[in-house]
Amino acid sequence: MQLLVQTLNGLTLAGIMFLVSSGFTLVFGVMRVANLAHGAFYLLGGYIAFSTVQVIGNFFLGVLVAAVTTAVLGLVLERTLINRIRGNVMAEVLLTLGLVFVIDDVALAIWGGDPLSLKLPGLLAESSTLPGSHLVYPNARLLILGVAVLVGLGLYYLLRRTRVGAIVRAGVDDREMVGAMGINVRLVFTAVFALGALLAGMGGALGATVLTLGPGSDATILTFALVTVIVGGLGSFEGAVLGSLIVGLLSNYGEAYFPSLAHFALFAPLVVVLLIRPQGVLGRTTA
Amino acid sequence: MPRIERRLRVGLAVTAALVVAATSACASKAGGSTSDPIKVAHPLPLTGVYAANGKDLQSGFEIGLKEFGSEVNGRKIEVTFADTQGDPATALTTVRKLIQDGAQVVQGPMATNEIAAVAPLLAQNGIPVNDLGLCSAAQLDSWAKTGNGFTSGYSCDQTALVAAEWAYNEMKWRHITLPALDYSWGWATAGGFKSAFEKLGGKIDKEIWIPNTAADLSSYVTQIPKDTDAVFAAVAGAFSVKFINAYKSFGLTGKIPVFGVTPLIDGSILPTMDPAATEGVYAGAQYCDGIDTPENKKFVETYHAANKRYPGYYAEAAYVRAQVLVSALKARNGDASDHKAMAKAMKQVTINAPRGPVSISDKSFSPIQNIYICQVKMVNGELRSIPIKTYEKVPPQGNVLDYATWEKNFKRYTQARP
Repeated sequence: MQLLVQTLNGLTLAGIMFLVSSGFTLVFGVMRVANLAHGAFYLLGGYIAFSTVQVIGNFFLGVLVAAVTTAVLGLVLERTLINRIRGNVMAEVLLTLGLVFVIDDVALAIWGGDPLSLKLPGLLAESSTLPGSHLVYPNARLLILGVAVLVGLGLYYLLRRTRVGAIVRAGVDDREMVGAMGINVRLVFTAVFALGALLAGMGGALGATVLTLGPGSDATILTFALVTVIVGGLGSFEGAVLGSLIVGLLSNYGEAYFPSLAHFALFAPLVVVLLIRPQGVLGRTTA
Repeated sequence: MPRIERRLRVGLAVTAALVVAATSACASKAGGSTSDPIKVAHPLPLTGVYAANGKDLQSGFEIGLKEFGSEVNGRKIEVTFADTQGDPATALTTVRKLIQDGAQVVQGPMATNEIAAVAPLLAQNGIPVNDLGLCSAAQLDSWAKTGNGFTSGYSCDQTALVAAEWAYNEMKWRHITLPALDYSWGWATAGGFKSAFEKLGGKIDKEIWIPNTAADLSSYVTQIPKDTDAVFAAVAGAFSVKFINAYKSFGLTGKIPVFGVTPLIDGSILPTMDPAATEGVYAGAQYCDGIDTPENKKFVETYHAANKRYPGYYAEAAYVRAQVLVSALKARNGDASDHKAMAKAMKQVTINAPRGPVSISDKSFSPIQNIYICQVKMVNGELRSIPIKTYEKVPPQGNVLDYATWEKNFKRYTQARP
């Protein structure tokens, strides 16, 4: 019984991590940019959803507005800033790190530093008794799990079954070749960066319902996302799915059954993977 | 690469120029003046994770100075609010700088680890310090040795000791589950609760330690045994919001009563909390915004006018520190130059604070004061924290333990899990 609850907890945490880390890994895979501002997009998404819900009162609209706003922000930042320093790894790291500070401080000025949480409407704020047991489980977490699965399927379809996906995957493998085929790589970069920001913003809006939102939440979630993509394999979409599951479940079992090793449980898979398979479980060794 | 280097160099040059300008501005301020202001240093986090609490401290202190007077015997009280970023190492450098600049009285920083980090430095220099709370053996030891410091806030486990007494005697709870944050504040709070509750004859069903890096509290909340009488949650800040939300979403609200200490239902977080999850939660607290004293009415009104919400314990603690400072300065005719005499005067102050009468114990250098059991109630559409029972003039060791046992426990539990 306890095991079932902890498994569900792990899966829902994996859901949030998947939303965040899939965006991160896409951007890295295609653009080779380790976007450290990804966590800040998550934070911003959560805050924007919070304010939208306060003003309009519709939760789903809040998630939508958050996702679209962060996507637009991602688009603008890619076109105006990241674009200029393409290929210069050091500058990219510094720039995205600088963006973290700017976004964090702007958020602090607008929303203050008190912990916020997003209130869910009606039935979603309740909890259900799972069929065939006496387990009470919050609907919000089931929603997150459902959304993560849907987004996962959507991304899978986009990447594996469409022409856009083929271009993106080709971009991961060999950017020069894609350019040589007459495809506008710049456009692909911008689109992927915006998509990554969109996923982070949506993750923030949904995550804010079960995790609190405040200064520092971005760093927490970025840590999770980094561990997830390193375990799964940098740049690999399937890796993000697998990494989220491994990290989400392990860190939850760790917290529940070996509380004094909880922190270790998060980083243990990272250490093991780096020792045995440094490119990640599903990562490839192409440079 | 060379281009970046050049930019970096330009950046460095600009920074260096700014630093030089800033220090020379400070230097000219320090010298020359003939009116001899009273120099008060107030290190606090103005950026970073704790910035909101830091601003609350500043607001409370400023309201206090406005109320009790920012001038004593013709001397102006000159307060320097300096950023510590909530980080012990930065706090240490900040305080060192403040001492070099001639601080005569220090209002200690905010986070428990910051306070512990600067305590020995302040003691070495003999500078009078009024800390936000007493939560480390480092403070107790250095204050006992040099007599320079005390707190007009609370000793870390004072509220937990009273909460245990109330839970056992009034609510007749015998089995308690104890989720607590896994660092010194949580250890001290949980340890205090446990020692008093077990001395009375109660039993702790389970201790659940929550690391202060935990993003998701579901795995902790779901470990609470279903047959426990009540849950004492030693959590604070963002964890209070997370805990109460998770408690509700896993269907425990209304089934197993939940209580804690001051920061669980503090005024600073109530406006953002879900009423359905928070209403009815109890806490042992030295301050909650519904306390019915004329001093508190006045304070709440002023604070609400300035900040558009009800005050929490940070704001009140800062307000009380201003009250203590001004009272002591009045007793000394505005003379803060003698560190020893100033520290003594501050410790001898007895005041009627918003939270009620406060005096300082000469053994633990922390307040003897009323401790309230507060409950969250909906008042005119807003969540407020309202006292339902008052324990009057509680000493730092509480009403259950003797002083020697308390001191031994306190020194142990601030350094390791109970």
